[in-house]
Amino acid sequence: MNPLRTRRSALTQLAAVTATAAALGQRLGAADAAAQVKINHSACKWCYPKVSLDDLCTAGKQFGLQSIELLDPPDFATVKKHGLHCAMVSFPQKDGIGRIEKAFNRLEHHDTLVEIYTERIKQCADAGFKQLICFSGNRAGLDDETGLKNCATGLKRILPLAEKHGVTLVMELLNSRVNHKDYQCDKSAWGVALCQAIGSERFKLLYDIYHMQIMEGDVITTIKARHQYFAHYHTGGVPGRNEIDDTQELNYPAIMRAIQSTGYKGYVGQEFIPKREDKIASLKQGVQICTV
Amino acid sequence: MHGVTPIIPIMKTSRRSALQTAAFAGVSVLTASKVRAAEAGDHYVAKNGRINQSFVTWNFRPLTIPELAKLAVKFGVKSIELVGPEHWPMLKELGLKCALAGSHGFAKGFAQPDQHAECLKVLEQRVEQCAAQGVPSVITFSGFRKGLTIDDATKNTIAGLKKIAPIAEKHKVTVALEMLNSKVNVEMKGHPDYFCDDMDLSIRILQAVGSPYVKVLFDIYHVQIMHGDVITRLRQYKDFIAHYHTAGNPGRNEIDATQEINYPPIMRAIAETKYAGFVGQEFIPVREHVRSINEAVKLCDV
Repeated sequence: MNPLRTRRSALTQLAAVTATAAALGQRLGAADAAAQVKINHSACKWCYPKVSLDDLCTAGKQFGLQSIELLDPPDFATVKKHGLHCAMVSFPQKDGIGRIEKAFNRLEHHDTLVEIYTERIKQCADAGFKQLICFSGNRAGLDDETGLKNCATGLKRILPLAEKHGVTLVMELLNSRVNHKDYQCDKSAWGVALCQAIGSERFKLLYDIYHMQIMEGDVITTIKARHQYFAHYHTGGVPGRNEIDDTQELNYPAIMRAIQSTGYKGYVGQEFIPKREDKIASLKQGVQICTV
Repeated sequence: MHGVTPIIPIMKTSRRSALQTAAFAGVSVLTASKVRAAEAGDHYVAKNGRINQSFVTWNFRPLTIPELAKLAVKFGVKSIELVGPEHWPMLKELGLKCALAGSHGFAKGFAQPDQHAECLKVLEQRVEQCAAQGVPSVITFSGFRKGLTIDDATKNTIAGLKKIAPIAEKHKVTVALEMLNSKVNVEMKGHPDYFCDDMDLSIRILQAVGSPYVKVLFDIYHVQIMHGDVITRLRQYKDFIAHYHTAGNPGRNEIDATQEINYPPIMRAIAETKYAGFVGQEFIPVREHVRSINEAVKLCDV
């Protein structure tokens, strides 16, 4: 185990950033003080179906992983046991409502969503986890303006509770060209307009770099212009959603530097599907590529 | 944006004159002695032969066209492009090609019916010159939209390109319609109100024209700004691509790890499409020019 990593992950949980930096400067030296503003690393569990959460935690900690994400409440104890965070909690669902295809853009889903998100927000708060994913749902013929209005209506019903518990609802931007045909929250401009319509610091977007490269490109410019609406980032190689290395078209280190330059203090979640045999080695490589 | 005044209504080959007087005056401190110093050091020579490289010239000012031609020879690059016929004999003497000839400027084009005659006149003459001198392709543009509906501008562009198609076919010279970004409102980095700012629409236009000698110029920088999903698109549209351009994004500068486009895998994807044309380096260096050019040659020599 790397002792510096452990100390750093403990420190990231402190709220007072300036005080932390000063303390680090004294205790660990200038090099580690610089490391304090570096990208916090997370990984999505679903990309490693054959690895147990326990094993993923043990392996990930060796190379600087600070969080495993998109977990349901039954898994919270495992990450906590390893001293890891869950930077993005998975969505609740009931009768298919809450899933990517069926969510906040339909008024008829709202009663169910309020019910299941009420419970999930409390579970997040109890565990000390701060961010909870949500989706727009598919268009299914719904125009973007009505879809946005409906999302705002539904989310506003649950946001007072989220605000009370300090939990941020984070809607994911997904591509509708390849993976999620007809998904409505598929452009950052639409997502930003929804954030503005809602006007709460407890509602933000998950800017998935893979999905947005497929839908709109111009990644760094978009991040720099709209980062105040982005609460979380995901990675993935384009095309293919595999390793984020030189086999695909995005220069991830440059994108990570752009994220850093916005003063981002959250996590970057690795969400690629490893193509190579050694899945954990691919994850380690992803974390290294994003360590800038 | 509608009705935006054309920013620099000039020929692409004379972009440099605008650049000299504008924000890029600062780069002219690059002196001849510095060029020689950089040339004297170690340099990379393209050797793999999977990607034919070319240099666009306006963006590498203050390096002159003859200086760039000498660098091309030195770095194993086979072409200097978007230069007029007056430079072609010099290129031939050095064993270089001109992969893409300049023509009318990007502020005029086939989206506007009242500009058809002027563009056709320039293109007809240039196609004949290309055929006589072995230049395989010539650039063309849509020009600005100027308040036209997309449907009308599309119809106009198809009609205009259909007029040049038989001449291109007769001489076996490819006319390459360039797609530019209309998003970045910085001189020579984007072109607000330019009509052909959408690769998918550009391809639909080419399909309607239906000529094997009217294709698209796939500028990777512009595509990344307007669309992303570069490798998927270049595979999807490989049969319609006459030429490629490079530059880093954001900024249109060096194409290395300082920006978001990972060029080596894109070059490998281009080679895998059996592309036999050229890739023109069209970035504006912010660092020492000769070194940046050489690094770009290396990155694209996959």
